[in-house]
Amino acid sequence: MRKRPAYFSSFAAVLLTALSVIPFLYVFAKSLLSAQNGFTLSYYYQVFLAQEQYLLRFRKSLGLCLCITAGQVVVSTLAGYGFAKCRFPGKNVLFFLLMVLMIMPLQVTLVPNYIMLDRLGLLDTYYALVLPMIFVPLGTFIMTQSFQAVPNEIIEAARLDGCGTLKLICRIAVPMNRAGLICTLLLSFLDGWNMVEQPMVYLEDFGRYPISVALASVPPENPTVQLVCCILVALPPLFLFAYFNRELVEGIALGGEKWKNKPYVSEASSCTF
Amino acid sequence: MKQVSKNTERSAREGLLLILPLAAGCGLFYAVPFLMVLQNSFQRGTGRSREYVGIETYRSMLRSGVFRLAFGNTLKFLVVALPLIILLSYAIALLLKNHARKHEALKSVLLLPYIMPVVGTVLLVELLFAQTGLVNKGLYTLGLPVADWLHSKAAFWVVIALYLWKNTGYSVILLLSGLITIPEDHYAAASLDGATAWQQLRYITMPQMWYSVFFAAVFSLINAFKCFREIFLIGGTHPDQSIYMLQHFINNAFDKLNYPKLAVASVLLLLVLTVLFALSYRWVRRKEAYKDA
Repeated sequence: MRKRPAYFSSFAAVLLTALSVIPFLYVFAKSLLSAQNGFTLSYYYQVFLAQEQYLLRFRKSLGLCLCITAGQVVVSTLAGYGFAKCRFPGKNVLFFLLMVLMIMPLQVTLVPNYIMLDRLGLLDTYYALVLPMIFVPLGTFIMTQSFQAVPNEIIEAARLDGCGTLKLICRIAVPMNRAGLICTLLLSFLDGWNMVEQPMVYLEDFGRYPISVALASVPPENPTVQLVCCILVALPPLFLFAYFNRELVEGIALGGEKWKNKPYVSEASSCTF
Repeated sequence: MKQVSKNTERSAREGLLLILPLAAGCGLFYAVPFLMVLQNSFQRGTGRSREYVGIETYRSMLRSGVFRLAFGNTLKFLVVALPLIILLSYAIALLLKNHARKHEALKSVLLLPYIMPVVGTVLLVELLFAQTGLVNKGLYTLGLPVADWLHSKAAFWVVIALYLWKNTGYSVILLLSGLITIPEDHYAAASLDGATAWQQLRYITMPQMWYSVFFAAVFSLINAFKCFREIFLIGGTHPDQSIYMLQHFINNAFDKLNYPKLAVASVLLLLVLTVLFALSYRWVRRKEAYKDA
């Protein structure tokens, strides 16, 4: 293709960067202003040090998210390896069902989840938030895609050396797949961190609401306090993102990788290592 | 020979064991309760007074104005937003492709809006588009007419803009990963034969991008449904008519504990999505079939 002049794409790059970053800076700047538009840190003092309620909720939400993320990572690593590297009857059908479930929005799954949680007597407990989220299929999809890139020769070699499957997953497949794993981890953390509908539907007790939805549904008296809380809520994702952005980009890209007709048969020939 | 069949058997057993946790969880929280929902959708009343009413609820739902509004708005949102996001991210991906290395960091930056917490996005929208928000202040200073963005027809477009801002980066990355797998010599050969940039795009790039576009569309769809929670938080339970989505409908039916209504809404949405997904999946598999040969 004819090369476009570089300055055009540079201009676009600057524009896109500005569009992505400036809103963050705007919210941040706003959080430093008092009602009279003067610079102040007193709201930060209020949220981070003076009052315990915000940090308490923050810690609880963080704990919840860690449980969701840990569960999701384990479940999707196992299943992802199963889908990518084992052969069993009905696999194509199951994977298709998995993808169908993956595109189902909360609007569809909320009611079934609610019914089951009600039957199990888990409504209005933290389990109601954690358990269904562990089995969200997106992680499995990403892990399957990324495990397919692990060459079969390596797996066979490890098998010949007497390596068991679990050990093979932990010691070989996962380390070769850092990006996929971290991407799964990040996306499921984000998903849990941004829960809105589930707490509102499954929980009666407002005290248990995670910080994200608590803030959004009942704003504190002062709008600036809300902005500062918003910064607080943005910290964990931003921190993770700053640390892992390369893996996240790589892992997401795998979702669009050409998904061969029968990848489990032909991947050995298509792999370059 | 015997060794081989033993290995296959082992692989099959292991595969099933490995997906067991996922399958059990999905069965418990999604598949089984969904069957109950299906059953619910043909019934009326609760507990003892429950009775079978066939497709009566479906009929009355399809006639109900509120449901039609919610369902229609959801579809309208998707029909407008999905092509827009694909075109936009396709354009950005093409633009970045030739300078991919130089713009490595940009890919991460583009994901920044995606990781902004829901509260943040909602606050941002309110700061910008509320009646005394930044946009209105700017318009006022310029002497242009101000508008009540969040409580009028304009809300729909605000929501579309929010969706694009938040999710374009994600699909740019998906499309870009497809673009860079197209062999460079295809373009070189075409250039030698005098193909224009447009012809190259039309006959080399586009035919090889169906999978990427498909997955970009799938993930954009998933992200679109996630975007509804922002819409929900911005508008409250009864927002402007133009953004009254299925989300609101389901939430409001939940408040009234109207199970049959909820069940029918879920079943209908599931049906529409599954059929659309299956058809487009089949179509894209056919388009790409030559690659497996």
